[in-house]
Amino acid sequence: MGSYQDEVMVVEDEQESREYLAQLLKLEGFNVRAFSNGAEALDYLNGSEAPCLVILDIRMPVMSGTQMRAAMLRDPKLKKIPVVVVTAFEPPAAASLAALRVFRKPLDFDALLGTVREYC
Amino acid sequence: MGNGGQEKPLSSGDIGSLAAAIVESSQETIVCTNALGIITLWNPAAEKMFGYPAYEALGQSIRLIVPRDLHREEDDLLGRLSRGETVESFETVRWDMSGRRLEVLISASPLRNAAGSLVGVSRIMREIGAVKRDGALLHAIVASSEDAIVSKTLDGIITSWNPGAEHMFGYTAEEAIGQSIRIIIPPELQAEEDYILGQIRHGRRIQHFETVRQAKDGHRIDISLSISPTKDRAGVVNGAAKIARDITGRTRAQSLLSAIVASSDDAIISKSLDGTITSWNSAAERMFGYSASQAIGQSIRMIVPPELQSEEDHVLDQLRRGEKVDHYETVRAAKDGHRINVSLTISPIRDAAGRIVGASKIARDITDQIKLAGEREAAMDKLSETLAGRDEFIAIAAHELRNPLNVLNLLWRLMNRSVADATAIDPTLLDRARRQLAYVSSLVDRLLDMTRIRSGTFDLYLEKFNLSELIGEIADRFSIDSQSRIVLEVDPHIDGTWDRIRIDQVITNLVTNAIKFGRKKPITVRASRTSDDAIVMVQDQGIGIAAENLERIFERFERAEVRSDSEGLGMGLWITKQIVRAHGGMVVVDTELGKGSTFTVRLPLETTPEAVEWVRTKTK
Repeated sequence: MGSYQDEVMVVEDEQESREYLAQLLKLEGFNVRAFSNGAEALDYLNGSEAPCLVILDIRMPVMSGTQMRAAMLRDPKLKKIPVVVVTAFEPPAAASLAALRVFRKPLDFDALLGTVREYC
Repeated sequence: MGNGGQEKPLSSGDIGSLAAAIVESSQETIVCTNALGIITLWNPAAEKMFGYPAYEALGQSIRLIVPRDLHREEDDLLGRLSRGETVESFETVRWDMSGRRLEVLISASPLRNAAGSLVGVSRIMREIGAVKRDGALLHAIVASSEDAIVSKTLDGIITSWNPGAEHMFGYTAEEAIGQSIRIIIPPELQAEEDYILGQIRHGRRIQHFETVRQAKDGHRIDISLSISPTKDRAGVVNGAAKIARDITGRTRAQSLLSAIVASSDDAIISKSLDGTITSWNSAAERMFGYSASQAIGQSIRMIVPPELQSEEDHVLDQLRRGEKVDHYETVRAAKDGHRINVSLTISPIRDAAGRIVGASKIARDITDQIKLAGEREAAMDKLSETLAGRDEFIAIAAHELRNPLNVLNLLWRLMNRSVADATAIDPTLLDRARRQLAYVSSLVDRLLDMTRIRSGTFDLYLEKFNLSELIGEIADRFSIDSQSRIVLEVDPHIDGTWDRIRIDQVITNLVTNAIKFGRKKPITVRASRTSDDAIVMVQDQGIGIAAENLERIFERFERAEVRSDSEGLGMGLWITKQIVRAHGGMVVVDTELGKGSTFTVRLPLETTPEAVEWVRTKTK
């Protein structure tokens, strides 16, 4: 398993949400790698070391968070990577994702930051 | 009497032997005495009546059979007859050998010699005790009857009037007897009496003749009359006995019942136990199309559909057991074959002895009721569908509002951080915050648009403007930090009449979608015009739309299925389509999966209020 222990992965299709979240995490001292859909993120995961945490949106074009998470759970190498979900939907929508935590938009950044600090 | 020729008159001897034969064989008791009251003739009927054989009676005094207290009666009889007086038959009492008193009617005649002097008396006696006893019973019955019992002569003069008659007609016996029976016949029915008397004179009875009579105070009484001729002892009709029963209550109940049956909206039918129709009201005529005359006598099965014939067997079985069938919902067939949903209530009809002889059947047409229930169900289904749609819509709307709020939240966090770190706030952050606020506002507007369009209160504010300029403004708005470059190929002279804010919304929507799904590749916006229409095309080189999703992208909002691959079109395209259609235009999409989509909007250059109205009527 990988060694980018301080790298946080952000998977979010909405450009500004993605940008600002990445920027804020960087300001908190984390390395951030951001993707705009599940397919790009999954590609990266397959060719690189595992991040300490994946912050995953559900509804995205090309490959949704649900599909990406299902692919991760099928892959022994990827299934142990901690995942938190950030969604505009109600939390039950994330029930099948085996996530550490589910955050609802608009995001409570302090709560998310606590989880990021715990894992990274 | 051996050679009694017909041409030869009977000799006195012949007459004597003829008389002896008659006396001998007569059913009537015949007793003769001489002028002194000594019995000289005692026929077999007398032997039977009084118990004394002739050989004992003959030669004895007539007092043999006369009770002691009546001895004078015989003396008087002989006295009167010897004086040449006539004596009518009279009722009296005699006694027999055992001392039993017999009530008898005696007709006494003198027996005279050729010189005309009295030589004896013949007595014909008839026992009347039985008649008298029956008479007393009859009298008691007549006196206590609630029916009016009246007798009258053949001239219609009242000869008796019982308490029942007093009560019914209000005249006392004293007032009525001797009057004409016509006092109780209403003026318009006087002819009835002529008919009745005619029947009576011919010895005919009249039974259960229903008519109306009038009481002393003038009120009318419905009665059922039975009239029998009365006869005298000789069997000659001498009057009539009349029994009148007050049926006012019965006729009232009957006429009420028949009025109800006649005017009922429910079909009311009666049938015998073998299913033969015995009555058929007018509602049945209307409901099933058979007239009463067509239906009565037919089998009830004619209104039972072929596939339900076994029902009738079941119903008849139940009726034979005396059970009622209540509110049984089934189907019957009318004469023209159409089916009627009915609710049946079937009750056994019993005769006076309590035996079940048939059934009454009330059929209510519940076709409308069933139709209403169906409509209600459909309305309920539509309502739940609407409610489910509304829930879905709220979920989508919440989703769409949360994203820009999330951006604003993160932006605030970034600016706050800048302030805390005492670094300069990037001015573009403030601009971005403004745009996100504008976006949230437009989402709220869209929510309201949805509501307005759906409720039919969607109005266009038409003005003349240049579409090319509007497209330029929209492209400028997107140029700041858009991930995709926007290429414009626009004819600068597209002027027309539209709702500017709505058309802005349409193009903004299409460009937003193109950017969202355009994979950061350039977006081309083309605008041109024909003689009648403006044509705007927004083309991306993005992911395209799968064929199976094409049909629903213009729906009110796509399904909130989190599992599905997210196209993220939201309610924007539905509103886009509604706005374009409201202008009398159309929007189409041309797409290839993996290569991109082109949305083409065609708008008439001049939108007239009539066109708007026409479209609205068509789309509602």
